[in-house]
Amino acid sequence: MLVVHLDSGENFIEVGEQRFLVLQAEGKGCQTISAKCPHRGGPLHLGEVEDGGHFLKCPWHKTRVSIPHLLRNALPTISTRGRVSIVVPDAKVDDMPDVCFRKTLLDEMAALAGVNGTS
Amino acid sequence: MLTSVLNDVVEAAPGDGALLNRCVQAYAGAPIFKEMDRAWEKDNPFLRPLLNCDFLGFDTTNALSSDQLSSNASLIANRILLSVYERDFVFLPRHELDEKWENFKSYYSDELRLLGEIIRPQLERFVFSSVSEEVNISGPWTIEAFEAYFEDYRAGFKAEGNQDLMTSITSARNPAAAALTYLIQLAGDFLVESSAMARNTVGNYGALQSEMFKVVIDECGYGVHPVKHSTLFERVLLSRGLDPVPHTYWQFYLPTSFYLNNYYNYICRNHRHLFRYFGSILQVETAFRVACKQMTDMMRAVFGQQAETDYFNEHVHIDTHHSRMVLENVIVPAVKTYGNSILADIVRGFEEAQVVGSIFTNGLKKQIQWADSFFATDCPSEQTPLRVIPFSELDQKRRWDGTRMSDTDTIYSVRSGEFDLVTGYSVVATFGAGQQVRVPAGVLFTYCPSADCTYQVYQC
Repeated sequence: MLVVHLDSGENFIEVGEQRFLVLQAEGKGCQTISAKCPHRGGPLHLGEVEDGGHFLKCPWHKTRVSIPHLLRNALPTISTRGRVSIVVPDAKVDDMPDVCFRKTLLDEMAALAGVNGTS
Repeated sequence: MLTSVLNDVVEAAPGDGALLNRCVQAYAGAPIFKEMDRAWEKDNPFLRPLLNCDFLGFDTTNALSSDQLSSNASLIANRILLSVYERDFVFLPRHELDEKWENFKSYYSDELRLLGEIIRPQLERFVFSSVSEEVNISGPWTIEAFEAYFEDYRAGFKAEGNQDLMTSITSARNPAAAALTYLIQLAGDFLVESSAMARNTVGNYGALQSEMFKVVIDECGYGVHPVKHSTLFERVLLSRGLDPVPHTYWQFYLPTSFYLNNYYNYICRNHRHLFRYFGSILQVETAFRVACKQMTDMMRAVFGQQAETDYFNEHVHIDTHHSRMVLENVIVPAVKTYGNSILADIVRGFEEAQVVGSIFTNGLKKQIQWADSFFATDCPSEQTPLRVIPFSELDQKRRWDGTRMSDTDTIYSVRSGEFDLVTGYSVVATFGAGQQVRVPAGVLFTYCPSADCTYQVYQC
């Protein structure tokens, strides 16, 4: 397993073939979901939010992915005082994660975390 | 008064600020909790002033935010909470109970116990809401994920916050005074060490209970009094000329020091927080080992190689075992037995312990740096104290009003006489006519003006 620490503002993790999106809402903490569409692996972080934050629409095949479904498979995540730590189960300690900030879906992501927050 | 208040509160709605204030006034009005005309009473652990002249009552509508934990309201709330929690513990004076018999009976009286229990839940919400809100846990945790997270923490942990505090002591203009301030803040917790956690060794919860007990018996020195951890810390205090009786220096404790102590009482007193405690004690046992090495180095740098450091050295050794024992013998079996659902609380406790520790460190560092600033020799003459002495050398005939927290930057401008500004046990700065001193927000202080002293106060 690999532990990834995010700096302020970072919200996207890529480890090998895996991609994750970190949803954050004011006062709600963070949740880390897969950014790969369960249909054919499309980039969900480039998709659209639908139905008030209950679905993400994949840009490849317009597949509607349920947010609660993505949250059920979220990664163990801790957010404390602006510090975010995430455990990636299917990765090794010496894997080199690529962590960055993706502006895409930013406003919608905040809305998603607010609606679906489980912190 | 106590009886009438108790009758009223039976019908009261929780969270009623006015009622809380009434209860607090009744509780703090007990003679053992009233303000004293002196800084301490020797060998009497029951006398604990709770309020001060700046306390105008609680407004508990909004809980304290993390940046309000160094306020006067925080000082009062935390003093009261510790007096409530520690009613579970046995305290006796070292000598002569006769003249303290009434204090002893009062501290453990049914009336104060009941009243304390009534005000405790609201004060806990007031004080601890912020730490709960600052830590957010999400996702499905497994023991494998937690072990990976813990190993990542352990491998990278350098106790940087504590080292920063140690450096502020060793690099102070007066390192000895700074170190004494530090030891006094530790005393509130270390002289009753493991008492809070011992609450989790009673009852019956199987093999986990016995594993927790193994940690506690180390803390208690296996019944051999000279090696009990609190006894080791008494030796540290005695070596520096400080009083080893618990809470002699009650009035010098910072709210953030009370807060650290209270947090562990809070999560250990209510066994609903048992798993949160498992996480927090893992963090503490892991971090304290590293921090104690830094403390030993600090003590030797300030007081020389022969400084009394057995307390700290003991923890460098035993906490390596405690960290492993808590993880392998308590947390892993607990998750195996009760499932992953307890991990959210375990992770929460682990994270909250870090937040609480940093609040303690930051509050103390600010106090030490402020007190040390009075040893500066490059200030304008109107701000340079006439003298700086330890509290023990202060004219004991000076009026004592009790310590309080400064909630705003305030300037005291002395017109005549002498104005002794008390920043703690080890630093009292004296200012004379024509001089002024600024007390910043977020520090503990009091002042003892001479009988002929006049001064003006300006809030910034």
